[in-house]
Amino acid sequence: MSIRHAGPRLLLSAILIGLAAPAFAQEAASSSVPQPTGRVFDQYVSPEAQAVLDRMTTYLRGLESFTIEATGTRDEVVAYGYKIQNNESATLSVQRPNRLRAEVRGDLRDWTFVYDGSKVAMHSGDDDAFTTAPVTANLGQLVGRLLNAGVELPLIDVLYQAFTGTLIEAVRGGILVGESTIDGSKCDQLAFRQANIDWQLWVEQGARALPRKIVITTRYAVGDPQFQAVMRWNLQPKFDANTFVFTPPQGAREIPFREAAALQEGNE
Amino acid sequence: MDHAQQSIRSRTGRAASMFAMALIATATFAVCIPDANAARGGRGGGQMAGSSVSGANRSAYGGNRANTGNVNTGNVNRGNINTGNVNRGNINTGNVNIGNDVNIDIDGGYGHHGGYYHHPVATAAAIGAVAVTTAAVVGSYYYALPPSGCTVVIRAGVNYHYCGSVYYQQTFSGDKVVYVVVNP
Repeated sequence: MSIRHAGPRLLLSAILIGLAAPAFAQEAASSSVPQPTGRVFDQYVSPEAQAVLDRMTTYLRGLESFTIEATGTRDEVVAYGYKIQNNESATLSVQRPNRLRAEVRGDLRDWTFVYDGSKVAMHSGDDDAFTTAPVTANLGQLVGRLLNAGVELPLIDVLYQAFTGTLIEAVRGGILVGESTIDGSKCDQLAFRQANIDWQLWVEQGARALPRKIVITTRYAVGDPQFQAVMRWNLQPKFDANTFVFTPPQGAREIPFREAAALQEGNE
Repeated sequence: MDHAQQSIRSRTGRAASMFAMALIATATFAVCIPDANAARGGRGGGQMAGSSVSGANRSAYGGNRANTGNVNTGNVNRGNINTGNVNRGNINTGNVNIGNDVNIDIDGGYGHHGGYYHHPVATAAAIGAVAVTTAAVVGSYYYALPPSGCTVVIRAGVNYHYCGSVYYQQTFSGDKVVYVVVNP
């Protein structure tokens, strides 16, 4: 560990220990241990971390179109706490105001999603089945509705931050850990804690404030399984006529979509 | 501060390695490592890492979702290591899986080869791993059909999977394909 990082990391430890305190106190409440008064640690995001996040958000919201190629892993805890790591790669193609394509290829699924501005289409290669549902929305609205419908787009967090809201709405604390290099680019590493997950974000330094890596740790699950993805961005994508058009593969069957109603207006 | 180990072979040398080998050997015989999901071939049966912050927030704080598509999907009733974890105030809180995880141990929990979980699931509530062939509630759904005994029946151009006395229709739920019990 370099000396440069010692400061932030110590601070991180202090904050995380502090953040843990209320939970312990709550658990101990039944044994009449006094509970802390007030919400001392709630919603403490350090100004440095907030500044990085704001820089990223502003930059993301100025983008008209982009692609992200992400590679990552997703832990799966199976019997006896054994942790299997599944590989996954994803491509996102995004065009404001209302075009989106996502493709996931990995150990767990082979999945394609297309939004052409008027309908959502999903195809599962493993099942050789697809579904479509009418939707009229901009990307911000669409992301909210997809979350409600339980449709897990790859890197939906990036889209959420770019088009809709803020990821730190449920955060209890967050800090700037320090500098870290991802794929040759210097980044600021942020660490956040919230009730059920911890997550870290690497944001490129300088004017191009893009998220370059994300790690999400699921807390209170055996093995603390993690999801992590490294992102490569293209801000001058060349989309062709088919990028945002869904064409069912030959032989694929059309099947219903249980949550089609969740995609309708008013369900952001 | 603890760090993740970076090499399998311990720096303390041969003795430690031998110890590790002994451990692995023990594990191999004593433990049937992952019967993750017999019906789907070894992946997708365990507790998945959540992969989105916004999804976690949505399921915890708002949300009318039947299934978040994140942490829970596919885990609750698969009889693996979830037992006891699922409802500890974590991301599941507030969604439909609560109260259903009690089923996990009905069939013996760990190492239950074959992947059947015969408890009926509440309509449109929890999702089971592998479908059943009898006494299924219309509207309940599963990640996989029974491994044998199903035939495809086509009615009015729609494919149904007929297993024992139960009809299933393949349906997207969130981003996953599931099998919903229907009455065609």
